[in-house]
Amino acid sequence: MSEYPVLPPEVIELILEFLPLRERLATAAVCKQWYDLVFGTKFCRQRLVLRVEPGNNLVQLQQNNSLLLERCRAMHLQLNGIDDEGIVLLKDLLMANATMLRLSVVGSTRELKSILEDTLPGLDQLIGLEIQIRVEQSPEPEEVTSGELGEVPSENEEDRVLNMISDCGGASTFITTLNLANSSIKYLALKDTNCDHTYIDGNFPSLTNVSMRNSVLCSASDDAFDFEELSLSHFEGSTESDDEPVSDEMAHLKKLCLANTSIDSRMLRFLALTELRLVETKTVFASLRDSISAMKQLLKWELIDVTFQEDTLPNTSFTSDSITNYKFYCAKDYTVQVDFPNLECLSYISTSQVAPKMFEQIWINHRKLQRLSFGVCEGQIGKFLTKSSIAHINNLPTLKILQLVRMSLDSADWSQCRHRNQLQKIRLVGCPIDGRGAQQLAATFPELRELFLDHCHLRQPTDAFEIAENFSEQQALRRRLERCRVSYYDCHVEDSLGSC
Amino acid sequence: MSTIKLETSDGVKFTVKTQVAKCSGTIRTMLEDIGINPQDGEAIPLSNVHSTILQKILVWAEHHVDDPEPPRDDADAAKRTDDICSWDEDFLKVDQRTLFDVMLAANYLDMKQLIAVCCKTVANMIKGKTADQIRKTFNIENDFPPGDEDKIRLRNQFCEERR
Repeated sequence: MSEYPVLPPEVIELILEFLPLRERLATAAVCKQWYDLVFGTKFCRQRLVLRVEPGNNLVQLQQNNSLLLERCRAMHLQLNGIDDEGIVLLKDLLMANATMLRLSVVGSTRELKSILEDTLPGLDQLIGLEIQIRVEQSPEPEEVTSGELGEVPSENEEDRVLNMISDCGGASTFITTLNLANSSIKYLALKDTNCDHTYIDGNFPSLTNVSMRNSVLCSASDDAFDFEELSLSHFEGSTESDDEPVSDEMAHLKKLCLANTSIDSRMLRFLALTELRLVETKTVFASLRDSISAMKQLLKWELIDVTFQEDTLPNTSFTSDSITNYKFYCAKDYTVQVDFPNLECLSYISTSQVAPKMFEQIWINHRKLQRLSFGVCEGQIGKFLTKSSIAHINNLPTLKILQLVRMSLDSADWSQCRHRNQLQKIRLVGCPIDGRGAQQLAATFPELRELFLDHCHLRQPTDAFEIAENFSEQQALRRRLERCRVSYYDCHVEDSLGSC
Repeated sequence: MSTIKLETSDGVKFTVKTQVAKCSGTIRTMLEDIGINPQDGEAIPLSNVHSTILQKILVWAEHHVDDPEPPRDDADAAKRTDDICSWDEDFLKVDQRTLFDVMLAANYLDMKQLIAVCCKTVANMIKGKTADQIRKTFNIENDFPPGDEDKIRLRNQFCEERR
C-alpha cells in the first residue's frame, strides 16, 4: 500500500476556509506549512482586519506583527484617548501600509484631524473609508455647552457658525474642519460627525457610494455631487435637513437609502433609481405611491418600519411593473397592498394580526414569485387562517425557495401542496413544528435539497428530529430526505414531560 | 446511454456512464476540449487514482449526478459545515486514510462538490481542537523551533474577521 496520504496545500487551504477566523488562526501553530497557508497571500487578503484599540500596546504590535500588518488590507482604528506618541506611531503604520484597501477610524475630531489629514492622500489604493466621531469625554463645562448647542439648532445656523468661527479663532472648540483628500476612495461612510460640529471638507474625485449618519459632507470644489449610491440616516441634527434631505440634482443615483428621516409629501424624483430602501422613515402614502410608479427602473424596494402620516391608509395598491424584489417589514398593523406583476422575490414580515390575512392573497398578483419569505415580527407567533392555507403556494408555479418566519406550523396541512419538483429549499425560522408535521412536509417534498430549521421549537412527537433525545432512525427527517441538507440551528426540543 | 472506460493506477478498467464521469472536471475537459474520443474504446488513464478509491468516488458521482450546479460564492452558505446531507455523511464515515485518499482523488479529478463536502467533514474534525490535538489527529510533525509556537499565539490577538 502507499504511504500515509499527504494533502496538497490547495486542499488544506480549502479546509481552513470552512473554519471561523479564530480557529483558522489557531491552526497556524500546527506546523510551518499550515502557518504559511494561514498567512499566505491568498488567505488573508481582504479578510483580515487589524483592530487597534486604546488598550493595545502599539510598540509591541509594530515589532511583533510585521507580517500580519503587511497582509492586512483593512484596518480598524479606535482612537479614543490615544496619546501623542500613539498618534505618531499610527501615522507611521498607515504610511507604511500603502496597499490598504479599507480604513475605518473612530475617534474625536482632534485625533482624526492629526492622523488622517496627512496620511490619507498617500493611501493610493484605498477604496473605502469610514469615519466615526465620538466626542471626547471631558468633565470640563465647555464640552457640555457644545453638546447642548448640538441638540437645539438655532434658526440662523449659518450665522451662528460664522460667529463662532470668528469668536473662537483657530482653536475653536465648536467648529473644526477636517480637510480630507484622497483620489482613489469610492466608498465613504460618515457617522455622527455633526455631534462634534465637525465639517468634513472632502476632495474625493472617485467617490460613488456615500453613507452618512448624522453627518454632512461638504465639497471644496463647486461641482455638485453625483453619486451612484447614497445612504442617509438621522438627518435631524444637520443644517440642511429641515427642508431638503436629498438634493434633486443627482441624476445618476442608482441606489438610495433613507433611514430615520422624514420625506413627507414631496415626491422622490430620482428616476434612474434601481434600488430604494426606506427605514424608520416618515412618509405620506399617496406621494410615495406616485414616486414608486414614476421610477420605471426600480428593481428592488425595501420598506422597513416606515410610518405613514395618514391615519387610515387608502384602499389602493402600490403598483410597479419593474420591481422584482420587494421587502416589507413592519411592526404596525398596516395593510399595505402591492401589485408588482414581475415580482420574483418577496420578503414580508408583519404583525400576527395582518400577516395571516395577507398570506391568503399574496399569490393573486404575484404568479412569478421564485423566493418567498413570509412571517410575523419578533415576539409574536403567526397562525395561518386555516389548516390548508399553506396550500396557497400551489398558486406560485415557479416558487423555488420558501422561508417561513415565526409562523406556527402545528396544524398546517402540507399534504395539500402539489409543488414537489420546483420547491428546492425550505427554511423555517422560529417556527413551532411538530414531528408529524415535519414528516408530512418531508413526504410532500421528496425532492427537497435544503431544509433548515433555525431557532425552531420542535414539538412532540420529536423522534422525527435528529437532535431529539428519543429520535428514531426510521422516523428521522434525514432518512426521509436522503439528498437533502437538513440542518438544525439553535432549536429547542420539547420534552415529553413538558408538553402540558 | 453512452459509456466510457477509465483505467486506474493499478490497471483496473471501469466502464462508466459518460454523464457520471463528467462529474469530474478533469474528465469533462479531456472529453470536450482535448477531444479524446470515447467511442474508440480506449480507456482514459487516471494514473493518480487507485481502483478502490475510484470505485468509491463513482458511487458518490452516481448518487449526485442530477445535482444542480451549486450557487457561486453564496456568502450565506459558504461557511456552514452543519449542512452535510445524510447520504454524504454516511458515505464519508470511513477511516481517515480513505477520507484523505478520496480528497486527493477528488482534487485530481476536479470534483468541486465532493471536495467541498470532504473539506467540511475535515473542518468539523478540526473545530475545537488545539494545535497539538490537530497534529496528533492528522499525523503532522511540529517543525517549529521551540518558543515560536507561543509567539504565533500572541500575534493572533489583534485580528478579527471582516464583518
